[in-house]
Order: sequence, then C-alpha cells, then structure tokens
Amino acid sequence: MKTPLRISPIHSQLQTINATWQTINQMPSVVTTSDDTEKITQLGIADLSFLTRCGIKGANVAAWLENQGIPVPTHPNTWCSLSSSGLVARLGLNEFLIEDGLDSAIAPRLAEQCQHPPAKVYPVLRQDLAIALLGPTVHDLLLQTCNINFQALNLSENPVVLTSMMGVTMIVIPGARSGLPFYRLWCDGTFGNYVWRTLLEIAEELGGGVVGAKQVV
Amino acid sequence: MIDVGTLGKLELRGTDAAEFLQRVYTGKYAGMKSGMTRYALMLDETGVIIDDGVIARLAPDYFYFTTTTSGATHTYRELSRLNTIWQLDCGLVNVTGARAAVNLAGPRSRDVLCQLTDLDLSNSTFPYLAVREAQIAGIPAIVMRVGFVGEWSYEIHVPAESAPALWDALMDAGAAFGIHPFGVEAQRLLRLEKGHMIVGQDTDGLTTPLDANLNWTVKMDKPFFIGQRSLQVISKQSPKQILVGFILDATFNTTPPQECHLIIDRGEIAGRITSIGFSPSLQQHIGLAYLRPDLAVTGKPFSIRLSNGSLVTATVSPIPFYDPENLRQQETIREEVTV
Repeated sequence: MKTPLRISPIHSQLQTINATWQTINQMPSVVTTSDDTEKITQLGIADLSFLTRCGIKGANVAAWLENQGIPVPTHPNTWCSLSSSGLVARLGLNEFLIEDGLDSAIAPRLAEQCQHPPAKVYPVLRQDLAIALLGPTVHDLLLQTCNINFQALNLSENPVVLTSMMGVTMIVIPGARSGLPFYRLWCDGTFGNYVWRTLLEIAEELGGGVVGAKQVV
Repeated sequence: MIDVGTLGKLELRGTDAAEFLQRVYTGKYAGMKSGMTRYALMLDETGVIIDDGVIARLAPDYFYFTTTTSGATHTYRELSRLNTIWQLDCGLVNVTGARAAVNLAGPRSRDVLCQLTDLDLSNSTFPYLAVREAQIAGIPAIVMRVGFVGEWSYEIHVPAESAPALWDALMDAGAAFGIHPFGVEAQRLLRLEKGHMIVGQDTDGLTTPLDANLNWTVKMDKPFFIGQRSLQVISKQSPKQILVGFILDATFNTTPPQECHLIIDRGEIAGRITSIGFSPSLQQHIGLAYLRPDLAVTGKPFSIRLSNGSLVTATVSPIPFYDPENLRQQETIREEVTV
C-alpha cells in the first residue's frame, strides 16, 4: 500500500485503538472509536492534525491578511473564527496561526500566496500535533500538566495562551462547548508522541481516552 | 539513505537577508547565486567556533539554512536576538521541527531520485553544491546536492508530515540498486574519510577557525562579522594547536587509540585526538587531532598515549583521506565503484 502523503505526528500511537479511520485532507485520521460517547462523559482527547493550517509572521502580516479577506484578531494572544469554518489565532503581535475547519481550505491558499510574499510577510510552515480536549475533567488534566490557571481566563475575550506544557512549547485555546470545557492545543509535531502519550495516560486515569474527530469537528 | 531531520533548519527572507547572514557567519553570501549552497561557520565574539551548517540561496531575498543538531535551538534564539538588535529588513523562521530531511547518498543516488521527480538531475543543470525546489514523489521538497559523506548525494528536505511517504518512495525506488538505510556511526566515519570536522567533536570551547584549519571559510575582508575583531587579534599570534589528519600504519592491528587520547612529545602533552576510526576504504585507522604546530607537518610521526600508558605511533596525513580531488562529485567518476 502506498504510504499516505500526510501522516499525523502520532500516527503510530493511534494504531492500537479500535477505531474507524478516514482519510481527511490526505491524512489517515481516527474519526470514531468504539466508546467515544462514554469517554467524553469524562475526558476525550482527539487528534486533529489532519486539519490544514499555516502560519505567517512579520510586521506587515496583519495588513496583508486583511487584504486577503481574513479576519484579524485585534489584540495579541486572542483568536477569532474564519468566516467559513476554522480559526485565526494571533500569537503575540505579529504572528498568526490559521487553521481550517473540516470544510474550508483557506490555509493552503494562504500558504500558496505566501510563496512569494510581500515585504515583512514571512510564511511559517506548520506541522503541528493538533489536539482537542473535551469533557468535564479537562481542567484536572491541565492542572497536572501546566501551571496556567485556565479557569481564571475570560473565555469571552477569546484568549490564546502560549505556554509550556510538560516541558513542551504549546499554543492553547481554552473554550467551552455545551457548558463543558473544550480546549485546543498545538505543539511542534516532533514532540507529538511524548505529548500525546503523557496526556492520554492522564486522560485514562481520569476515566477518559481517545475519541474520534467526529466528536469535535 | 540516512535520516538527517535532527539538523536545525531555518528560513530567512527579506531584502536584508544576505546582509544578516554576512554578519552572522564568517563567509560571504551577498554575491552568492540563487540556486547554490555554501558552507557556513558561526563564531562567537571571541572568535570561537559555535556552529556550522549549509546556507542555500533559493531566491535573492530567500535563504534556507541548516545548523548543527545540538545547536539548533541556541542558534535560532541567538539569530532572533541579533535580528531584533540590528533591525534589518528580514524575518527568521525556525522550521527545525516542521521539516524532515534525508540524505540520499551514493553513486546510484541519482538513478534512484530520477524515478521520483521531473527535476533535471544532470550535472550541468544541477551541479555539486546546487539547491533546487522540486516535487519528489509528489512532495514539495528542497533538494541540495551536498557531499558531507563524500559521495554523490542529495539532501532532501520536506514537510515533516510527508517524511514517511518520502522515505518509503525512496526505499522503493532504490530497491533495485540495493538501497539501505545507514546510521550516524557510518555517517561519522564517512565524513572522517573526507576530513570534515564536526563542531563539538573536533572543536571545543576554545577552538577558533585558525586552530581548526578552516581559514578558507573566513572572509576577513568583509566589513563585519561576529568574531572578526577577535580573529584579527588572534591571527597575529602563533597558534597553539592545529587540527590535522593522521593515519596509523596499515599493519597496526592492536587496540587503537580513542578520541581524547593525548599526543605526547618528549614527555609533554602536545595535542589530543578528536576523531578516529578504521576506514574500510583505506584499510587503516584514520583520524583528526589537534597538534602543536611544529608537529603538524605532513609525514611527520608523533606518539599517542593509550589508556594503559603505552604509546602508539601515528603519522600526520593530508586530508581528505578519501577522494581528495573530489572526483566522486563529478560526472565522469560516478559509475566507478572505488576511488
């Protein structure tokens, strides 16, 4: 069988799971597991690395993004939604992470346009491990892995947190769905196996486990 | 084929990108042609070697370059700091984790690669030290024709998520040619045969380019680079040590010296070994060592003290040990098996 063109950073970790797979954006992805609904009553952890994303940085990026019709979060370390689906996270002052939803393809278009960028606009190749955490015990997991008090953040301000989790640089977007914590995490894919194994171990101790992408996107 | 994805990988874009590199590294990059690569050596303010890599110019305002594996994080931080201070018109992006890289090496590497790309791999179009952006097995790649291991080879950099697809495609394409993965130990031996030093192994916290015989990489006629002022002072002094190649006699067949073993001259320490290995190509032990300048004369014998106190005689040898004329990078020699 031909090796897929895109492989999740934790592809090998997911092989032992009793799951349904689907190729999304050329990447084999876990879409459901046998006990998804049971796990998310406690804590579900899902691999969303298959979503397309790109990064851009530089002093002129905000203006350039606006010219491309991309909504730009006004304040550093905040995020907003893309018009179709997906999000734009402002990382500090002059760097952005753009991630598509399941049905949009804005990031590849931006990455393509960025191959010959204007002055002070620099494309950033993103090859993250992208994770979603959801369920009532998400904060219990975060307490064990990060020294940020996420519960003190005002979610209405759409915060983006750049932090270190288990010693790995991490982008975190805290949120809620149906009144329950729903967090997005991104880190350098080369740390993916370590991050995933550690988070999953804690999630399982809390009664949760791996859930398919269908539960979150 | 070897996985070299641990190398630091950086991108630099902007109208001042070449000027930035001119200040950071000892070489000249402003006049470098797009589509070419060049060795890069980085010093600290005292003139001590702290990192090296390869700089590829992909466009007049776009460079892609590598750092040592252990120096990746530090180099990115230091370059970011310098970029903030200098306020040049360029932006630095760390793609160390985002890009995977393999080195496809050997006389048949072109035969393997040509099955997977439309890129013209002829020596005239894609010569030694050139760099190209191309699709390899449908994957967008940066391909450099560099020769760290001394053979015709391609260093192929791709998005990390596509690394398994690249690896498998190359292994499949290379099956008919007997392709095999090789590891860091083999790589270290091959580079030793070529006399390529490794920062951190063949240098220490005091080594300058003058010590390491890397004068050819240092362009003192540039207006400025980090470490230049110190080198101006140091170059007026006599070096205390010089990195040289050495060989053991081909008949030597007992316990060989090891890295860090000392060189003894008339009861005094006169140097130390930094690299040593048995060369299958030359059928004898070869190595690199720092030697007092009066001993660093080609053909001159010297003594190495082993851990048990006994002495072994070695002889200063010119480097590269293997393919000193670099014939392996030329079209005419590619089909031959040995040099």
